[in-house]
Amino acid sequence: MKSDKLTRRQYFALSSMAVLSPALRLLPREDTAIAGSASWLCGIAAYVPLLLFALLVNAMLNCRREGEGMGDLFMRALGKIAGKIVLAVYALWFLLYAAFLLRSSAERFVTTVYPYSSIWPFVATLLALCLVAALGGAKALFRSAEIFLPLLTVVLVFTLVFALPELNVKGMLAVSTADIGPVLLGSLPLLNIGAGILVYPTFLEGLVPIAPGRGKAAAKWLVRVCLLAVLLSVFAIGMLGAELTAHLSYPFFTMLRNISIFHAVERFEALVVGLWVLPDFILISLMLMLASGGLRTVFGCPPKPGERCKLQNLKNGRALIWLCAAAALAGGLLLAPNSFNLEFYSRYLIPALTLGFTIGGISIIFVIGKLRKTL
Amino acid sequence: MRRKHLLLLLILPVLLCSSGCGSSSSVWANYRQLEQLQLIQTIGIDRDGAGVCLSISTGKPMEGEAPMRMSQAAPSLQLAMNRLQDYTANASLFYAHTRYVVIGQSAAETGIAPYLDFVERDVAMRLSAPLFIAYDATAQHAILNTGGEKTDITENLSALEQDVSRQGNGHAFTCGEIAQGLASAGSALACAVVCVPSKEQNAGDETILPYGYGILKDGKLAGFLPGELAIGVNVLLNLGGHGDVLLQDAQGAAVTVALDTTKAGFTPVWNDDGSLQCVEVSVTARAAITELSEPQEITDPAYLDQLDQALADTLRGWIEAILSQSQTLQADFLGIGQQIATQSPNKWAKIRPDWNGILPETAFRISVTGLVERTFDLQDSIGVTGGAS
Repeated sequence: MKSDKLTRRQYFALSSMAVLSPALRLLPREDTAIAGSASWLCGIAAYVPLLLFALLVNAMLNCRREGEGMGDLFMRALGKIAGKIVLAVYALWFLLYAAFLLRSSAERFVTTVYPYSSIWPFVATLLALCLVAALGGAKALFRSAEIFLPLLTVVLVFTLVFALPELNVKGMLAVSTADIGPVLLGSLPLLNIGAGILVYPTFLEGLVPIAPGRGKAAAKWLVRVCLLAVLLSVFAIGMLGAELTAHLSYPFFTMLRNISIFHAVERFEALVVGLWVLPDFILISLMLMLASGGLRTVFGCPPKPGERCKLQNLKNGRALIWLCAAAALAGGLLLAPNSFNLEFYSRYLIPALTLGFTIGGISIIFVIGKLRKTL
Repeated sequence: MRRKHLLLLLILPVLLCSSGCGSSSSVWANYRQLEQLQLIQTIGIDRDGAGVCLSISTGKPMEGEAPMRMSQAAPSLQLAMNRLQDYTANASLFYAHTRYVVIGQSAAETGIAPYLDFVERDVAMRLSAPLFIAYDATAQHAILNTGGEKTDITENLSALEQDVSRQGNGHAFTCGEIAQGLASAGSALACAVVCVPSKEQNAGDETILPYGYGILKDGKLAGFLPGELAIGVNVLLNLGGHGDVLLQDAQGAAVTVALDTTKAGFTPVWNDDGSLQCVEVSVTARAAITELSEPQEITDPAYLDQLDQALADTLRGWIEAILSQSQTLQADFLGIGQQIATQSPNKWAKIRPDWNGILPETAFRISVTGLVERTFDLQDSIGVTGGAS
C-alpha cells in the first residue's frame, strides 16, 4: 500500500525548488539596487533573521500533533471560528500569490525569450500543468520536486562554472562601514523570499512524521538559500557590475546570454529560462494546493490522507481545486495589464504581503496560541 | 468517460494556441525557419541626421558565396533592422549571434548610450559583443569596404581582437564592460580601429587596423589614446600582452624589447584630515630583448642596467601622457577610483561624490621598474670580425 507520508528530504527538496522561483525574480537585482556592489553580503546578513524566524516556525511546529499542519495549528491557537477566518484569509493570499506567480512566469518568458508574444498562452499552459499537480496528491508534488532539484542544481552549477572566466571580483571588495545600513536593508528581499518558503510548505507538515532534527534541517537549508543569494550577487556583479545589475529585469538571465562555452556553445539562455518553469510549477502548484486545502478546511471538507486523487473526483470539496485554478487563471490574466504594473506587485505589494503573512502573521498567531495556552 | 472528454476539450484550446496556430501575437511570432536564417555577425551604427544608419555584415559566407553587406538609414535601429529585412526577401536576418558592434567616430562623439541601451534591451543582441570605434570613419564605410568577395569585416575584427590582445596594444572591451564603466565611473575605454587600404592580395579594398583606444566620457567619445599609449594603458590595466617597445641604448642604437609580464597598481596616500594627498602609481615591467640594431654584449651588467633604465623611462613617459589625458578630460577610464575604493573603502566613500573634481588635481607619484631579463636563444651578438677586437 502506498504511503502518503513525506520524508524530511522531500520536504526540503520542495522548499529548495520553490525558493528558486522568487529568488531569480528578485535577486540579485533588488538587493543590488539597495546595497550596490556590497550586495553579496546581503545573503550573509539575512541568515541571522531568517534563522530566528525558522526557530519561531519550528517552535510552533513543535506544538503539533501527528498529522497536523500549520492550518490545524491556526485553529488550535485562535479557536475554531477565528482560526477558520484567518485560514480563509491565508487561502486568499495563496490564490493571489499563485495568480501573481503565473503572470510573473509568463512575463519572464516574454521578456527574455519570446518577445512580441501574448501573456495568456504561458499563463494558461502553466496553470493547466499546475492544476493537474494540485488535483493529484501532495506526495506526487514533493516527489516531483525531489526529481527536478538535481537537474536545476546541475544547470545552476554549470552556468556559474562557465561564467567564472568572466568574473571580476575587484569591485566587490570595496566594502566600507557606510555599506552596513544598505546591506541590512538589502537583505530584506532575501528575508522575504526565505520567510515565505519557510512557511508555505508547513501547511502540509502534517504529512511529515514527527521526528527530531527539523530545526537543524531548516538551519542547513537556510545556509544553502543564503549561499545561493551570495553566489547570484557575486556572479551578477562580477560580470555586469552593480549599476547595470540594478537596472536589469532579470540579471541572471542577462548573465546567461553573455556566457559562451569555449566559443562553441552560446545563447543557451532559452533552455535555462524554459527549465526555470519547473520552480514556478512547483510553487504555483503548492499555492493552489494550499489555497484549495485551506478553503476546503474552512468549508468543513478538509483534504484527507488517502483520498482519491483522480482528476475527475470532485467529491469532498475537491471542486474547490478547480475553482481556485479558475480564480488563479483570472487573476493571472487580469492582475497586471502590463509589465510596469507587474513591477509594482513584484517589488512592493507581494513582498509586503509576504512579510505580513509570514513573519507578521505567524509570530502573532504563535503568541496568541501561547497566551491562550492552546499551543 | 464524459469527464475525460470534457477535460480534453478544456486543454485543447491551450495546446492549439501554444503550438503557433493562433494569432500573430502568440508564441508563433518568434518562430523562424532554420534554413532561412541569415546570421548577422557584425553591425555598424552611425548617426544619420536625427536618426541612425545601420550597417550589417554576415561574416564568412558558405563556399562560393560572397558575404552579404547592407546599410540602411532609419529613425531608429529597430526600424532600420525592419527595413533591412524588407530588402532581404529570401532570408530572415538573425541578430542573436552578432559578434561585433562598430560605431562610427561621429556617432560615438554624439553619444553611445542609446546604442548600448538598445543592445541590452533587444532580446537578440548581447552585451558580450566587443564594441569598436571607427577612427575618422563611419561604421558604414568600415563594414561596406572591408574585406572582399571572400572575407568581410567580421574576420578582420576577429583577427584584430586576437592580435591586439597578443601584442598588448589594445583590448576589445565588450558592450557590457563599457556600459559597466560608464555606469560606475562615468568613463570607459573602447578599442579603436582605423580603415586603411589593404596590402594583402585578394583581401578587398580596405582592411582594419588597431588604433589604440577611444576614450568615452559621459557616454560620448572624448579622445583617443593611439599607438604606444595603448600599450601603456594595457600595462596600467594589467591586461597583459607582449607589447613591443623600441628603446635606445646609451650609444643611440635601437633595441627592441617585448614586454613579458607587467604589474601595475595604484595606491592612495591620505592626509591626516582624510583628504587625498596623492596616488602612487607603481609599475614593474619585465621584458625580453628581441632585436638589436647594433651588435652588443648584452650580458654586460652595465648594458642591461642601461636598458632597464631606458625601459622604465619610456614607460614612465607613456604613463604620464595617459594620466595627463585622464586628468584633462576628468575621465577615470583607468578605474583609479575603484582601486582606491578597494584599498581604502571608508575614505573613498567620503571623496567619491567629488571624485571627478578631485581627479584633475590629484598628484601622481609614478615609480616604474624596468627589468630586461632575457635575450632568448642568443646571448651576446654573433661576432663578425673573425675574433679580431
